[in-house]
Amino acid sequence: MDTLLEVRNLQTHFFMAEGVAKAVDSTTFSIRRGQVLGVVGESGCGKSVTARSIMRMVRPPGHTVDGEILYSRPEQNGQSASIDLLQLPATGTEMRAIRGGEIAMIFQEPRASLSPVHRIGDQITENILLHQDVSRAEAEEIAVDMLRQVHIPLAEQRLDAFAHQLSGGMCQRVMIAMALSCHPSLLIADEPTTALDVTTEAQILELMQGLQADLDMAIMFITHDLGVVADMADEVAVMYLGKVVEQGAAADIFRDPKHPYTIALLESLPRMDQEREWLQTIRGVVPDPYSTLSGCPFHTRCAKFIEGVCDEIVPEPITLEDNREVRCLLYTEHARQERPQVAEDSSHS
Amino acid sequence: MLEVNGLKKHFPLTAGLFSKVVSHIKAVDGVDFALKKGETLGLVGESGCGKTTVGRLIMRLYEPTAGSIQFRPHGEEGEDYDLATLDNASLRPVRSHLQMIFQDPYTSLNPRKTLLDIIGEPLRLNGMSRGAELEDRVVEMLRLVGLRPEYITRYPHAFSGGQRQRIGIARALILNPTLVIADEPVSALDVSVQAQILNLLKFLQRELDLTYLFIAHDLGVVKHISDRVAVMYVGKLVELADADDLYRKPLHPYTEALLSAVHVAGPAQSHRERIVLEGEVADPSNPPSGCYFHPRCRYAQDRCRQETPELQGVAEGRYVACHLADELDLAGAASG
Repeated sequence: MDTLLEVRNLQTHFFMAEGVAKAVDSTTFSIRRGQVLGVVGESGCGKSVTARSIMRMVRPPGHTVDGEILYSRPEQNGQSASIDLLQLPATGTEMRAIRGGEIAMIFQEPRASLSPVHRIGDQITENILLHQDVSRAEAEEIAVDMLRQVHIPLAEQRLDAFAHQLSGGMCQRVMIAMALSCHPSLLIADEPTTALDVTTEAQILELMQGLQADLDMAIMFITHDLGVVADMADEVAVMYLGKVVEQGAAADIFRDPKHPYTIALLESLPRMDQEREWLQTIRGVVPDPYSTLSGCPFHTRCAKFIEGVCDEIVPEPITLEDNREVRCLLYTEHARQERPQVAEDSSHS
Repeated sequence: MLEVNGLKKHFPLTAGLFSKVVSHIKAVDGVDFALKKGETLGLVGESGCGKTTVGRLIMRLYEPTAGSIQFRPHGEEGEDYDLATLDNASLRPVRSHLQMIFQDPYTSLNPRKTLLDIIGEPLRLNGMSRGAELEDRVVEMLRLVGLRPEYITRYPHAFSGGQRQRIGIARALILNPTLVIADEPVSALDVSVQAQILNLLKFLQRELDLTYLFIAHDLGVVKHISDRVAVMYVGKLVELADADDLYRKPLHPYTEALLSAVHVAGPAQSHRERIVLEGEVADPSNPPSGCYFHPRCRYAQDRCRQETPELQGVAEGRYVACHLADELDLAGAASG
């Protein structure tokens, strides 16, 4: 199918006094047009830095040192041209047109991402005026229309409101209205509902699903909540220590996770639909970001660790039969030579 | 062991030059429940519903506006205290039976103290032990919560979020409390660490015969750890039942909506009906008339707008505050 954004071998490192933290370390994944990609992982796995790298918003001491971000940009003649966002100057005209226009982003803390001293109407129209060739009055009309689309009651009056006068859920609606005002082809949502209560979260997710279908845009949905991903995403990418360790169709991954990290994450969740006396835990902790581990980054915590293989060979992504990509040596020749039964076992867990 | 009756806490809202009290935020507005020894009661609700305030009232970190909190740390035969009315001096001996675990492991530990000081402080303050004896107790606690005894001289900054939560648990348990109030103890943690802490809390409960009041907003976590669950909405309990019953067949429409909003991280769940509530949580300083939930309730009738429903027993151990509880047939969490 039609690939909208392809991230290849992305490397974003933070150069700190303590050493180099490889926040994003050769991440590879792709998003198809009109689809929802869920990016999951625990804190510090590089989800947000990946998003900021795509938007070219990584601030020093962070730098994107290598990789490609191929964005397929629609042209006037109906064709699309592929451009590498990393080749564009981060503050140049072209990148500024894409950022907030064709690729928009919403954040975890809706109130902190809105300006406290500007009226929300002005904040939305500012974005429209930056990206579209319209007059101020037309921009205001679009703004009211957007506020209606995100189901904000009394949209005209709300243009004059300030962020502190709105609840958290309302602020997130305003952020979504602003992000969608220029019809982006990709919306990056970085933990958009984490700070919200469950019933408000349900409202926002419902809204996002509706708008996604209406506007035919792709969403990169970043979250730590596997349940939300199961509900929202078509595709899932699981990240661990700056790498995508598994990517595939959401239904496949939740039915039959392949990577030991994905398996362990799903096992560690308390579930309402299952009785679990004790929860499975992942031994150890996420390694220190400055450490340089040899072999697979997960080998120190992995339940299926094979000595002499996992701590020596760096796994490359391999494609399994259901079009799923896994970065794990269990599914390669290395594991079969050592212990032939292992790969079999894991598929049933 | 603990019996809470008609517990209320109204925070005054002031305005103007002389801080005249203009109205009250009814954070907790008439809450009744009881806790048996050795059980876990989960207290759930959205932010601002008053669940944390209930925990703090039992700890007497706040002065209750009204109501009683009967506490019998030694069971039926033992002493009976009313935590709501005791003065500070008479509270002191009772307090060692009551401990609290907090949400944020980063801000609830003093960064300038070592683990020996942090975990041993309750013992020192109560004059129960000192010197080598104190150190031995702290080492014992560290082992119990799964931390290495060598850590005793380290400072909190050297530990991860999960380890800090273990430190907080060690501090809470060093006085051998009978009741532990855990206020969102795992909501700041990543899932893999959350599982470790939940297992630890369950293990400690069995080892030490603890009673938990487990305050949380995550219904999956609450189901896992609780024997019974109480649901709060705008300062009142709307439903109280055995955890399994409540999840299988909720009786209050708010519980139904909460359950439907939970996402299950598994396949084939995606077509479950999600009940999206209209509007927002009612303002506790100016709650709606009748049932506080009626503006958002899809079953609301005229009666719900006028009369406030009381929490009533409908079956053995099941309580619900809804006029329509007998008539409605509500959907529970899908069981697989």
